[in-house]
Amino acid sequence: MNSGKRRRKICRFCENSINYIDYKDERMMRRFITERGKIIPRRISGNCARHQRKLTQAIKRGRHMAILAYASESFR
Amino acid sequence: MRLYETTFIVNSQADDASLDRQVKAISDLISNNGGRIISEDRIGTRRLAYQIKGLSQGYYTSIIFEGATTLLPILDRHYRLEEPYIRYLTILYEGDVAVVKEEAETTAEKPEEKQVIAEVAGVEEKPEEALEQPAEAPVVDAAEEPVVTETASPIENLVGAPEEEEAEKGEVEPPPQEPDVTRFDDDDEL
Repeated sequence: MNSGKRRRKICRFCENSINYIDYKDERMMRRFITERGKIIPRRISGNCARHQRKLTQAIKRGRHMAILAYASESFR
Repeated sequence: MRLYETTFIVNSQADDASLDRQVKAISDLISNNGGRIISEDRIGTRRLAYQIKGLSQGYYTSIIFEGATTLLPILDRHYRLEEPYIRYLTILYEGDVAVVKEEAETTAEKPEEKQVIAEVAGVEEKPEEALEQPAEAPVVDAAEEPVVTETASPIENLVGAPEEEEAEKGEVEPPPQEPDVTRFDDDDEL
């Protein structure tokens, strides 16, 4: 897993030319948060800076609107 | 005039009539104060990710509208003063307007109906101007790619396979990706 060269991940939003990340789209945002509800960092998810910024914004909005949890116990 | 999206949650335990009234109160407020509703999406009752005021379910409604900045404090005030709104969020709408407008055209009768109410209320609303706009605006927006509602699906499909698995597993043990989170030597940028 940690063997030298890693393949460059491609931003999934760029790949699908998605410009608007909807904070109400729980299923999509779920893919970018951990079990605990933390936002997965860019170096793991492979998102580009632009989309990570938008995604982060969306996730935070989603949390405010109780679409996503701020923090969750180990199960949900 | 800018595009905004306001989403709010009301207590889903209320009866249909009062839910309707609460939603209508907001849309009337918007149109009575010079705003123009572009789409009204009643998402419906869904589970809250965490309890708010002891409630675990809420009725979500999302309204996309066009309005002046002066409308926002009015809206905000209403949300804060009226009890039933347990959460609200008003943001600048950055999504694809063309898609939203198409939707709005299918339910075209609604905004017109509301403008009539605005006139009756004697607020300085210009229905002519407001009615003209839907004709102009889509031309500008049509140039953008018509993807917003569909956007979610391609990503789900592509991403779905590897990560869904992980999500299921995750309930029992932390997903394999997780340990990387704390390792800084993993950074591609370094």
